[in-house]
Amino acid sequence: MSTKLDRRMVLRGTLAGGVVSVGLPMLECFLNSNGTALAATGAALPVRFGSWFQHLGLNPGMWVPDKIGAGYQHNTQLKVLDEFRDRTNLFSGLKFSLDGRPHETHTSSVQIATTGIYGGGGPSLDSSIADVIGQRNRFRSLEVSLYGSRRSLSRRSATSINPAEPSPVALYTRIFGQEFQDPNAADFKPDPMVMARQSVLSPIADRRQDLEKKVSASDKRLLDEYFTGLREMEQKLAQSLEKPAPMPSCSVPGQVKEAKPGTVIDDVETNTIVFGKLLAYAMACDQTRVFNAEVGSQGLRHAGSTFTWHTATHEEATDEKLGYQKEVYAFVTGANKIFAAFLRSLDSMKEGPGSVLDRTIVLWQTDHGDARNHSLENVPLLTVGSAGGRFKTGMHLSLPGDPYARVSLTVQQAMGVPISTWGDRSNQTSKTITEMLA
Amino acid sequence: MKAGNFPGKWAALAYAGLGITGLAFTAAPASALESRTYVMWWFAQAAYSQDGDCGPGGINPKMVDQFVPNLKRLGYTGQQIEEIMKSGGRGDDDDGGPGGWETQKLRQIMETRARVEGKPVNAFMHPAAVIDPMLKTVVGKYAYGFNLDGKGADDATAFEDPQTHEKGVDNQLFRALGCVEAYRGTLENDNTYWSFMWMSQKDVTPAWLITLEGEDLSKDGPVTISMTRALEPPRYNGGGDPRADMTFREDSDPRTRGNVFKGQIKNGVVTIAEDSAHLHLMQDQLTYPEFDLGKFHVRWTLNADGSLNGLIGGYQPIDQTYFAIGQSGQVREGTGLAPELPGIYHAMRRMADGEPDPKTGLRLSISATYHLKAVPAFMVPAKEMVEARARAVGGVTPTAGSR
Repeated sequence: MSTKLDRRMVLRGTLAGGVVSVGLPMLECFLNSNGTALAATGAALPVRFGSWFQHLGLNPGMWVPDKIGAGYQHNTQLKVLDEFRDRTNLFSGLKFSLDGRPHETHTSSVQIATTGIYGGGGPSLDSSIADVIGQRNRFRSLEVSLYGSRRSLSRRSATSINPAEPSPVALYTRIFGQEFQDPNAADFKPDPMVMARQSVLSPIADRRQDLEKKVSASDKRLLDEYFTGLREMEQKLAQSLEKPAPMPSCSVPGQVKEAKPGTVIDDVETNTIVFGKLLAYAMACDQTRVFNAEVGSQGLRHAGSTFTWHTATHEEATDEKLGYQKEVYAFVTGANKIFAAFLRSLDSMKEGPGSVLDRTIVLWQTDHGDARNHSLENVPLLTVGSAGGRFKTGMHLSLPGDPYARVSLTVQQAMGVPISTWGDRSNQTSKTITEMLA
Repeated sequence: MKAGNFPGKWAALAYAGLGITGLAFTAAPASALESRTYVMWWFAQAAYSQDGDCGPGGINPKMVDQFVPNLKRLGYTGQQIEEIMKSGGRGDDDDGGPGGWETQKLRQIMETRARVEGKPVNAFMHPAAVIDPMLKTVVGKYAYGFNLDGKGADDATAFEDPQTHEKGVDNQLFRALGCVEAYRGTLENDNTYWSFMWMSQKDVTPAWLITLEGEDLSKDGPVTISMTRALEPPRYNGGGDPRADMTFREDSDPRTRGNVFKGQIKNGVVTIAEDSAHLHLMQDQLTYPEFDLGKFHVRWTLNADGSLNGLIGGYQPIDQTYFAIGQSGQVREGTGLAPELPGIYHAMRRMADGEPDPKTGLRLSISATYHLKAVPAFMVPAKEMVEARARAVGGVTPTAGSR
């Protein structure tokens, strides 16, 4: 007699007269032959996008590999990422352009990196990607703060910022609290409170057009933004009334500890691991497909010291024998270690034949080629993960003088954002990096 | 050259007019003189920091280690200082989140540590009203520069130039700043302050142009040196290297003009042959809004690849020099770019060696040396642009220099 295996199968037995059941781990037989879709439904496993912004660059001369193309070896400063090298693409030679406009240090380049536009006029690229891959999820994106601030580089528009969550406990509650619907649960009951909320919102929708006709153009823009948010809320409410698709790797993590807010580098690393795991769980349960994190802002420092990374970049002299700023080197390497810890958190969540990380592309960006002098040339950039095979990996791509936006354009296009160019003025590009497309 | 380089409605006609005088950019046929123009793409204070040049104990402490001494000088008790510094470890960063030392309280105390009539005032705008922390200054033997006062080897406060080994070199700005970490470096290993300053502004600050004119610039002989400012910033390739042979329009602003000096070329090195040359140029708000060097000297090497690099030096007004650094106050002091700003001011004052005030004897300027690098360029003289515009409208030719 054959037994049909599926993801919902549990092993049942008796213990002390009572029935006990134990769930199964994600088995390969639950998936199709490629491990990319559920065998039972044919539904593809989701692809995801993550943005990691690490301010203050890397140390010049310490990160560009000798070899270009596939099979490169990490230079000194990125060796901490060696375990992910085959899943990494490293870009060198990229450039931010000011086109004669003032160089607002740590600002202009961040705006260009995240929105493609000097001055930051549009949505950040994660928002554009979330509009494509994250619309059907509870959270279109999740922004986390690793050092206690609510600051975030993710934005819907120049004036509409997606604030970051500095508390792992709060994030846990948001994701796995009362409103969480286990996608693998056998039974599904729509939340009556949600139904009530939706019924309240419905009549409002009918009055929108009337109101928009009566206000000025600027107020109409504000109303548009407001109603966009309202529509998103409606969509989410509607989604929560539908039975979610099963997610084989989904499980609810145990309660997490609160973060130690602050800029001590060891605390930031601890916070990063906690947030990384929470995001991995959230993605495995398909609560979101897009996330943002930021590290290395101006206060990062070692325990017991008031000397910050940013201060070190500007105060420390270059060691003549070593050729770089020693303390800055230590900070950068520490931040890279934090990034590695974050990647490890995503990679530890297994999903099909790979991991959550494998179905994600994490875009690592920074603001300067050399923070010491705020240079905008030879700015490093990394991608880690293939987004479920959409990207080739394991390459060092040297693109001297090319707009930083080339990578952003390519990633957005591969994630389904319908654009042919990205950025403005000299930062604009229509040149997709075809070498990285699978 | 593209017509699009010219502004406004006169573009096409101006292009035609300038096309006639285009050759004059590089040569002046009437006098058969050879002329070469260069655009400056790098500018920094010339440092020659060596191990041990600040004496026993090394260089000055980092800014974070200067807070406690500052608080003591202000009269805070040990317990008060402990409280302030304790809060300094978990203060707010610029974004409102928990951050480093930059607490509002400590920041405010540091910002207002000057005292005028007993009242706290901005320390960066009133550095003389802050107690001199007596920063250490360079005691080493060597510094780049020029013998400005003519005293030569007899000058006890002077340096020896590590390139030429000339003695009696006056570079007291290096002496004053050279034990502050952000100012330490060499010509090859540029110092952090100037690397930051130049790289932050290089893409937007109007370029300085240098023109050499002589009978044969490949041979020894007299040369006329002109320095002026362009309307455009220097141009750089994608990788950040300077782009040579670009065309720049000369700024007709009278404040950038009049810098014409007699010089000479000997063995491929250009020097000034005047005793009382004075350089005055506009630069950038971030570095020197106005830049002056009295007893102006140069020592430039004409390189085989066509580039030019070397030193400029002279006496620079103290106020101009200090406020170029001190203008951003807390931003530069707090980020370590210019730690202990009032201390820097006092060090400059103590080291000042030029322009004695006839009444008080106070030295108003300080000897300084800067390092610059330049690549070949083309220049459209302001006079020709003015004339071309005048021809375009059929009007009277205004005098070059009018705007």
